[in-house]
Amino acid sequence: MLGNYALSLYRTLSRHKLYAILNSLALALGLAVCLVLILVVRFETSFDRWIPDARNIYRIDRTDLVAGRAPYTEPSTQGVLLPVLQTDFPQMRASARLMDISSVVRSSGRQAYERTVFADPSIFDVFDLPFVAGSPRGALADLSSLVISQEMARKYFGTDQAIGKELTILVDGIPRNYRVTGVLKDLPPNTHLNLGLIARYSIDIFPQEKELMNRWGNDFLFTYVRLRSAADAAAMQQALPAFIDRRVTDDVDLPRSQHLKYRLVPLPSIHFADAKIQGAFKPGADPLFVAALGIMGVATLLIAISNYVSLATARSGMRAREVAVRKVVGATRRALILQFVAEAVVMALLSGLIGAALAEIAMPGVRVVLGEPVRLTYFGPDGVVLPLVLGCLIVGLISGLYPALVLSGFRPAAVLASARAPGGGRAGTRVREGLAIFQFAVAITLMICTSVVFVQMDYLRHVDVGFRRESLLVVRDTNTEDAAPKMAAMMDSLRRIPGVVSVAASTRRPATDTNLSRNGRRLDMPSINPTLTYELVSPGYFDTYGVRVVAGRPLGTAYRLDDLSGHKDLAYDLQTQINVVINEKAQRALGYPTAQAALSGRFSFGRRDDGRPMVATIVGVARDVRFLSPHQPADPQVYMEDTRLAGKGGFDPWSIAVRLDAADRAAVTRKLEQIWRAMVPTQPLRAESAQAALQPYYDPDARRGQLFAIGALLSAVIACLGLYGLAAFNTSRRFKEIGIRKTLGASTADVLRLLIGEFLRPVLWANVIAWPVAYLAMRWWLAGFDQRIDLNPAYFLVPSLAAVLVAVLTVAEQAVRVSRAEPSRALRYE
Amino acid sequence: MIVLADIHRLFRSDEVETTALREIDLAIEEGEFVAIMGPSGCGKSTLLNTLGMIDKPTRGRYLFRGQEVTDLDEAALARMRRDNLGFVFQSFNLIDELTIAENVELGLVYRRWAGKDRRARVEAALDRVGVAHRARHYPHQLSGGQQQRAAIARAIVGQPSLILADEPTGNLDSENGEQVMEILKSLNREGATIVMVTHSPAHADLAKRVVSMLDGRIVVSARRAA
Repeated sequence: MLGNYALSLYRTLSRHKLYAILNSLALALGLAVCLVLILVVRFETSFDRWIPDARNIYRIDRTDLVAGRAPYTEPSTQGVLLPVLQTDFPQMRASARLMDISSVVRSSGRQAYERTVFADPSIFDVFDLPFVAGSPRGALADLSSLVISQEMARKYFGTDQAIGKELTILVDGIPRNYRVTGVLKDLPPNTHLNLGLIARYSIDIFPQEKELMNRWGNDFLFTYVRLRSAADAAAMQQALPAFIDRRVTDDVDLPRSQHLKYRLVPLPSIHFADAKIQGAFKPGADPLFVAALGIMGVATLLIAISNYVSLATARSGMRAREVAVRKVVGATRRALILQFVAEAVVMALLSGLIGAALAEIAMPGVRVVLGEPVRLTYFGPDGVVLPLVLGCLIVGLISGLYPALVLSGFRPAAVLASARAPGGGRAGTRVREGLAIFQFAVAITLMICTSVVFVQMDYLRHVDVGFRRESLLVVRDTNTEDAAPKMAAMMDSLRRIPGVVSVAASTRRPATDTNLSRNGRRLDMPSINPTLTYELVSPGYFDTYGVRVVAGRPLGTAYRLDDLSGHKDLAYDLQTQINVVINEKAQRALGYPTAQAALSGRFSFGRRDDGRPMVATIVGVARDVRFLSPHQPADPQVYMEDTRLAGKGGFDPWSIAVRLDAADRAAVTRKLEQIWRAMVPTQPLRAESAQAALQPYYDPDARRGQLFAIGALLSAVIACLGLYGLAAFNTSRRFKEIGIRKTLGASTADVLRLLIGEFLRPVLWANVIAWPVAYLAMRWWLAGFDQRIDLNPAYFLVPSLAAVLVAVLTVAEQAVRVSRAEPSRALRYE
Repeated sequence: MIVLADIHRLFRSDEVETTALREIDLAIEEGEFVAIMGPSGCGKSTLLNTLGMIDKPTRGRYLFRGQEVTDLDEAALARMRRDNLGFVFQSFNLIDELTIAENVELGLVYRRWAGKDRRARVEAALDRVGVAHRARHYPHQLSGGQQQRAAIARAIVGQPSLILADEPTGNLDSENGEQVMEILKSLNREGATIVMVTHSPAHADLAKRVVSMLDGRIVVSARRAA
């Protein structure tokens, strides 16, 4: 019997090639998209789960709750935390701290920046990682021990077997010699850890942190703990607020557990948690975005399935006679249902094969768009063959069941008595129309979302971020022991390069956050005392960065009180006066209704190094500057100028900005490199444009836009394939009717209107569903941006019109052909 | 063999109710050759479909070899058709995607006969009707007469006790029509019970009994003189 079914299917498909191609292609596309997106979701949700005992390993994240600022969460904690935790929570199975910094690594005459982790030796008790050489036991026995990855071993020594080999690492400018004591197997890409080089953490290596080790107002180490069970984790989490009140002794406002929170983040969740915080090993993934990808994959597959159902039921009439004859010779309904479901399953399996091939072809492009190393593996624990086969079986079952029920339900007597093939009746037409509405609703929703995402991305690329990001070069790591003393001379040399307009130094740069903050208290209204971040800048900062001052003036050298270091020569005063510029956020935080109203306002702002309280006078209000993600609002900020910045005995700048004119940027960069190499030969130059520095904050959303665009395009293609097939079937069924209409006087245009109008109906109805869904989704997504576009009706109208146009074009060819046929041909047809 | 008692068949749509059969009482003996005649729309095909168990009467009783058929479910009816009946249609109704041999063996496939047994029986049936040389061709490659003979082969391959033919010569020329009637006659001589709907008085004359219908009723049921 199965052989007979297979034969029948083969012959049917051979005879009706268009239908076979349309259906299998649509199903294959749907399966391919679903497969790729499920792979992506699987990759994103698999982070760190491969680490042994992953579910019992936690990173402790810290959240600061400060009045006037949004809660601020960081993945790093205080250096003093872990020793105290170990005393109060002896049930911890293992624990370790890690510090991740960028260091200069030297070997065999070459040097490069590498990410270097300094960790407690117990790191390998927390993370049970495989070694290809050496052993975790004692791998970080002393301060010269170094564990490296296979990749680093091959990079520096050309072999995995690097035990005993040596590297020099500059730590805070001091060269330290290390001996390789272990080689880690390269970690798979699905981990938040970045462990190329691991050395032992010690205060002896970072003596400047000795003082911090006894204080609670800092965060510079990742703290990981390994517990025994989820119950232990729950108990520890619950006990942490009391721990904070008991053990945190300073630097946090009272009550301490209200201003400081710790959270045990399970290892498998870290990748998603890091999507919303700065300073992690790697950027995380937005869980909602990953979920949206999964939904899009399933939605595309559902479109393909509904395509199959729609086409199969539309064409069911073609096989009505076959069904009637089979019933006449003795086939039961069950046998017929089995036959048609089996046909659908075979189609699904064939489509699965084609879909897998399409997915394989698409993978390189997917990796580029997503920026993730997702792979398609066929066999093994991550293999897709078995799940794909199972998926195709289920898809075949779902797709085939309804058409099988329709087909097997034909009454032989009615079919054999009728000259016309049944089309499924009104119910069948309604089902097909419903399916077409569903398909186009999904496609139009995706198209609207895509257009909104693209417009928002374009807006962000050009929106005023408070400074001029084009033609601005930023040099980083200028505060190292080697580089800092040379910065004043460096800046003078840079100013003399043709093409350089201005140079300035500061304690911030694009793509970094600032953690310098103090309380400000208005002198005239002491109840207003927000926390304000501050940035120290050199003269010329506002011109170099192009920060616009909207009221008052920028800081400058013409005014003595503008300069922090100008106070050296002042006689001792009970208070230190300093002129400052604040940003608009700070203006509102300080309670000034307008920028103009803030001018000449005064507030206390912490103390000088010598203990004298500082009083700031506002001389200017600047636009908010965004150095970070477009999702993050700017902090209230105070600018203070210090001519000692990068000067002799001055404050070490964290970065230097160079404003270029329209000259050859490459030539300027080459000259900068020469100057740097001459002045700081022990440290490679790290410079990039402000645009490039900010790119990682915009890339994820840009990728989202691309993915939605691809999803929209593919779902529209699948929907149109289905529409084409339906149109082909429908127009052939109505050939005689059209002949009669034309005989009675209908023109070609009348017939076209009739045929095309019929197919436009589901597309128009689809908008009724798509518009509100897309509106709600985009309103929610846009709310996550501090700067955003308004939802314009054009973003809805244009994709909808495009969908209508595509639908018309899809059916037009057949409609035109049929509408132009001679009536006599049609009437002779029967 | 067959007893129809007070059979009625109503067709209802949203707005229209049509009575295709009313008060049909008919008994058919084993081995009879019955021709059913009447004007278009008188219910001939509906009566044939009822006899063939592919249409259920609205009211009345149908006994097939003593078994009440009217209350059987669809699966049971399918089995009855498979094991006892053979159909021949005016428009042949061969499945286009299957070869002649594959069309003929379809009933045996549903009886789950082994391939070897099926092949032997199919060959014999095709031979009987004279189209064995076309076994591997598709229906559209055969003439009308050959297609109808193939359809007869399909009807008889399972050695049914009852053959139902709905205007079997309606789409054939006279020569082919004669050939088909000859086959049906010889089957009847061998003992097959045949019920045939026809418009042709000449073909009706070949039957032993002619049942005339009008407006859904049997108006005359006359045995021909031997």
